[in-house]
Amino acid sequence: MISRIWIAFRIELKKVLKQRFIYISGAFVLLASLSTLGISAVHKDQSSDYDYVVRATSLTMNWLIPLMTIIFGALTLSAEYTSGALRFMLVRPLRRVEYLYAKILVTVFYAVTLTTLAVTAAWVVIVLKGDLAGVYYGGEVLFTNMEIVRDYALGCLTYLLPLSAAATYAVFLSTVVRNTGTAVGSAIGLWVVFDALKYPLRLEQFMFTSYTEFPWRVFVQHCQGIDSYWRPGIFYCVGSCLAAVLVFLSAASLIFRRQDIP
Amino acid sequence: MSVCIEIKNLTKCYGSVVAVSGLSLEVGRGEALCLLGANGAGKTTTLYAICGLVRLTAGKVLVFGKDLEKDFLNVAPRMGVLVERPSFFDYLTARENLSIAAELAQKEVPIEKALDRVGLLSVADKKVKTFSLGMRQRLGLAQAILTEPELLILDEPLSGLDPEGGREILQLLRSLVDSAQVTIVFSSHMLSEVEVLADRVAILNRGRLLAVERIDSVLSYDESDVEVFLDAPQAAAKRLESLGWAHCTEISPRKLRVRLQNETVHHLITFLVGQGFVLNGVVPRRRTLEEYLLRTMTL
Repeated sequence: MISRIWIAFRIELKKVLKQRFIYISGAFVLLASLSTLGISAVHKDQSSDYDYVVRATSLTMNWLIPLMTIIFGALTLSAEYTSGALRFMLVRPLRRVEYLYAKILVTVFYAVTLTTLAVTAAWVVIVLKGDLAGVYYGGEVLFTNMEIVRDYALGCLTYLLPLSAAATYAVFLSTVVRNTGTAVGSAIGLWVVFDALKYPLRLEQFMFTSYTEFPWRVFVQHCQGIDSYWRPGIFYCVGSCLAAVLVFLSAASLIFRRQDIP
Repeated sequence: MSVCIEIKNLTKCYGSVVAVSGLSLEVGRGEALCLLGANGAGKTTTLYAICGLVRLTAGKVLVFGKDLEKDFLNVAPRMGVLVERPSFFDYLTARENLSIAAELAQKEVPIEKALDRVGLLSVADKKVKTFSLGMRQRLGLAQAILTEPELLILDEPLSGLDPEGGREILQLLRSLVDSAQVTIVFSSHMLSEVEVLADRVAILNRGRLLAVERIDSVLSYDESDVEVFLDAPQAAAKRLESLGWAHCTEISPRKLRVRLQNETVHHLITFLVGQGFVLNGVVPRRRTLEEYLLRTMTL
């Protein structure tokens, strides 16, 4: 099973690399990241330029990359339903769930690639044009550069959880909605609805949509010289994101396995 | 002949619509079976059930003796499928599309050979989005035969092909049955291609199997319906009408078409020669698949 998923994943990767969308979205992330230079200038002046990374991270990680991941995920199967190419794949020696897992993996891979691009863009700019000297207050070191970088690295790792949840959610919707436009529209629309309803329903701690910003909270607050802690938020983040992955994966597997492919 | 496909009491419903109802059918190895019927008869649903694209509402499909739903991974590598209006990844080339099929089959397959067999080798590196309908159909056949399968499921295999291309593909498919003992189950509305390719035909109507017949018995000569080529058809027709056992159904300047009742062609010839007519030929009419289809469907 794993070898077939791996083969399907490699095929999906080759297919994705032939599509313009991936390059356009990559360019978009780079552009968004670099555009924050207009708000937060970076100079070699012995003072840390974490503010630029904070702004670039907020813009790309909090909404742009999740949004693109959702669009990409929602298109994965719905586009093949629409074009009929799904039939080409599903008559091969490959289980439907294996193909589904490969689709989810490639969506996660896409999200991770965009994240890597955004991270690289932000830090290369600051390394080349700015300074990384830790966070000071009144001449006292509050957080060293190493601590800040560690916070960011932990943020990147934690960010994989909401990204995986978003990818699984979007691919699940693309198994349910067979029209590409409707799949993308409903994926974004439902995300917005979930996000809007979580506060009045007091479910914000349990909704995976809350956790695209969470991984960067410690980094952002440390950059501002404020104490911040991973616990207990990290537990809710891990729990709700893993639960979302499990629920959407199970639902998608169940639906996709039983579907007629007309 | 051993059994390749065994369909047992197959029923498939789409909501409240019954597409196929209680279909039972066997297809032998190395046999070409054609599913015939009007639109909505259940041909495509039956083909899709055989290749696992639709879930069965009831019944069972055994391919190579294996239950398709439980043993799909063992069956799929031995099967090639061409669906109606074949779809590909349009942003990839023909070769890249076939390499996906090859990679999933997990075996070394000659992609060039498959493309060459369907006449697409020269456009192997062109993107599929530039292909015409006929080229897509050829590519569909190339991917179906790529892994040299033992079973081919083909939905309208010659649709969109020009007559010459259609003939070439037909020859290719027939040669696969004759020389490589490949089993082919296909559907078609083009009866002339069915006559060339099929060994047996199965007639479906509104999801039900009406008849299964060998093509050579469908296309046999009907000795009670003969064409008589002679010098004076009008006069001969008048004489024949008085007999009671011969009815002229068509009279043309040099030919009569006669339907015989309880008498043989030999009697007809003896009578006409005895009446002094000069016969240039007597040909029993060959039954057509169209007649058989229409007759079966109106029964």
